Amino acid sequence: MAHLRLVFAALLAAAPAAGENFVFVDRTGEAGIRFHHEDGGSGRRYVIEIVGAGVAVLDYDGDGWPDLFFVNGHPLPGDPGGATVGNRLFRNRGDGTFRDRTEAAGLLDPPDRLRYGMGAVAGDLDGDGDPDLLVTHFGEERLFWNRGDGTFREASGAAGATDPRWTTSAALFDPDRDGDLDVYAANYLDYAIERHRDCVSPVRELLAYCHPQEYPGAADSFFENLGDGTFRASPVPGSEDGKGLGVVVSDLGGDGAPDVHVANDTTPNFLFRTAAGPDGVRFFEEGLPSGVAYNEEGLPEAGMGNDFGDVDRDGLMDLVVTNFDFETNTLYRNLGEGLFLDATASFGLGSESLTELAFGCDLADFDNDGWLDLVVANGHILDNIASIQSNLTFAQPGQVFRNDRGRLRRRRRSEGDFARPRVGRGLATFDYDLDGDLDLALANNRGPAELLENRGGAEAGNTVGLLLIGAEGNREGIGARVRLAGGAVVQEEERRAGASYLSQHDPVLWFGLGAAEGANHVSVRWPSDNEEAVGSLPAGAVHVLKEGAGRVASIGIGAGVVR
Amino acid sequence: MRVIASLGASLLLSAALGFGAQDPEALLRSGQRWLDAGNARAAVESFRRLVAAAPDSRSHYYLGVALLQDDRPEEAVGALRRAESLAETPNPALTLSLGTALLRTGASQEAIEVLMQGARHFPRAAPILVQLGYAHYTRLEGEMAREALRRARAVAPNNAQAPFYLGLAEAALGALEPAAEAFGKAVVLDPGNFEAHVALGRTLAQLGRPERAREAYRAALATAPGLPAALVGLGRLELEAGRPEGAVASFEAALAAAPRHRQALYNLAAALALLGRMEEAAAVRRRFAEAAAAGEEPGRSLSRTRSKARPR
Repeated sequence: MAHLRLVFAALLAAAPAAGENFVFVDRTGEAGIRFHHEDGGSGRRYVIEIVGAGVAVLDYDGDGWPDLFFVNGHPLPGDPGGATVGNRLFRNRGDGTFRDRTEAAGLLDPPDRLRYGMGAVAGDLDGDGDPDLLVTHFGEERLFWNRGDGTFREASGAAGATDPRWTTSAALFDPDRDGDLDVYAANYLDYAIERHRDCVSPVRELLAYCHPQEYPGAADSFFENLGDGTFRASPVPGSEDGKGLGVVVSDLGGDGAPDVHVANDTTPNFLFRTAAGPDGVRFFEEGLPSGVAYNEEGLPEAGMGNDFGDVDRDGLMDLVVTNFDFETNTLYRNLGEGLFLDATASFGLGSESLTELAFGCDLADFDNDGWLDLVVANGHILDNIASIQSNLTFAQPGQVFRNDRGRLRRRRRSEGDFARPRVGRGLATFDYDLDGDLDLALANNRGPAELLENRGGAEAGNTVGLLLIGAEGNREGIGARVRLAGGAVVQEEERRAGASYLSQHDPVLWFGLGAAEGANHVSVRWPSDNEEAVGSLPAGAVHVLKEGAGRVASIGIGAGVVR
Repeated sequence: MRVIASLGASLLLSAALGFGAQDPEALLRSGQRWLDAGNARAAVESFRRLVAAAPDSRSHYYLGVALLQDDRPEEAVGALRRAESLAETPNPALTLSLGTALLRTGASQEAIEVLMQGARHFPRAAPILVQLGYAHYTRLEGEMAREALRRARAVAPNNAQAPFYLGLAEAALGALEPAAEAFGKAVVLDPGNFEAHVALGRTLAQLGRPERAREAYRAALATAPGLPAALVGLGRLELEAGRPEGAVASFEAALAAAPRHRQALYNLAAALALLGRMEEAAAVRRRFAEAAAAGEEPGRSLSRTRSKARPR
């Protein structure tokens, strides 16, 4: 069991709350992460150049330290450079540094296998206890089985989890309730290099990337895991007109049936309710009646990334969707009974997100006060936007919005190096140094990847991490919902695989506790529908919870852990 | 409205400068009367005869103004260019009209050049600065729009158009606080400008100030009873405040005036669903879907109207 290979350290009590200041500090160089995204552009402005790419957090070697997988582009016709290093896997060495283990892990593509990558998602698709890797492309997905020895093996023909179209984000879930993980894959445009069109800006007559309305959308795909290492692919009915970029899953009804939100670019967003039946999974598109298809004006927005999280701590998962410039990052309040309301203004997001073009995002607690903050990676899609619209730039600063008891406020002093302009796309949050606060991994378009350390988050409040191991359902407890009482508020969080934009966050669920020294009560509703009370858990540790067995291991976290 | 306002300003300017005080007076007065009566077509005919009788700068100018009012901007540009070539000295009314006509033809860069030249000759001519700011605004040149409109406000603090368009420019730059300030000034200077009241309401709502937004929408309704945009704004505030009953009343009132108002339909469905009136909500959703399919969009939120960076 991979996760049981954790080194059990003595529990370290996190420092008591010393304030609420935290700031993101660039640690990319010190950490040894050297990755440059290649868009493959030649000046023709193929629309695929501006979409990628993503980053996935996974513990591929089961040592308890979260690793990173960055997705890369590929030279396109006419690209004068014509080279790419391909995707890269960085192993977390546990001392604050990473090592490129792409080749050693069997993920180094020979030149004839290099393809134009988009995003990645990791999860235990074959139920053997370690995370496998699904990489989406402009073209067919690629599936890599984790052998459990630190190496991967590419599945032949992606084991059926393939779609020749342009797939962007993917998420793992178990809508048929058979105990293995299936895949929802969003497809973007029905586009091919051969059908490329030259588009110009209406204002300056400059050659620019085409509006998505220039191409038809493409139906999303559902890959049903057949449990024997193969998948059955089928289009998701009702998704035909979508132009999907972001996918995130939540059990909104609390009935164990996962719901899928798809952020569509300029077309109405989807919310698929699912139902397992004798003939397989059925999808019901309810974006419009649920209130998440459009913004408050009744207009579709240019959706990019998305995430669920209980922003107002009422026990219901709210939804954030990142959008184009001069559209807000839209935050939908979950009102219960399957209804959402665009409450962007009353959540405090109405003005600060207007001039940014937003992609990767996460609703997560960066100052450990128990309230979910919001981070957003920004960057325009037009490399010549400054010539078209004078107050905009291609590279744009990231943003931090701190949650002040249910209302989000821009917190510039916490942005630190995140405020540096970049062409932001994928974003994943994780505690790479296991010091008790959430850091950022950024996958930027045509630029270097970045690792930003959260400094001060751990000092601002205590935290507890939960790593789930399913027994009756999928092995990672993906789809489980955890309820935790402790600190100022009761928190609920779900274990997800796939969110943000083309990306995946930490497999560990993190809960900020403020000054509380532990959680008074923790309960888990597993994907199998088993409800399990775990009892109290001390702060300052990642606790491994196994379905039916409660806490089976703990690893201390804190400043002294990083070697 | 914008062009009409500009034409009115240019005519006022021309009157102030004595531009129309030449013969043949009868044709001139006839054309002016038609313009005053709103019959641009007849005015064009009168001024054509004036041009034939006295082909000078003034005649071509009036013909250009009438053509513009008759929604024939390309022809207006020709007449106004001719007037410009015949004029002995730069004329602010002519400059404003020509800039406006060029803007109407889509030749925004040419319009800006004409208006900038006019602004250099007549730095205190607020209507020219306002039109220059608006021209920049249409080209997504928010900072230049802001600069021109700030200058207009500085030289003519009582000009009600300058702060209104400045508010639009600020909103287009994502600067909602300055936008709210500018719209606030606009409604003080011209309390009858219901568009400015609505713009102020929307901006304040986006800034998270629902009470002040509500006041602005109510002021708009006091000026323009039944105005759908203001009613929808009020309804949204009710909805966000957790008062769906009040929201339903507002949205239904908006739909009484504009039965296919997309935003009203969308939010009415949401409010009805919150009240548990599911069948009614579904019926309204169907109406919304029809309106959406027909591509009917009410005025988009000010801060989003400039998102034209994506090529089409």
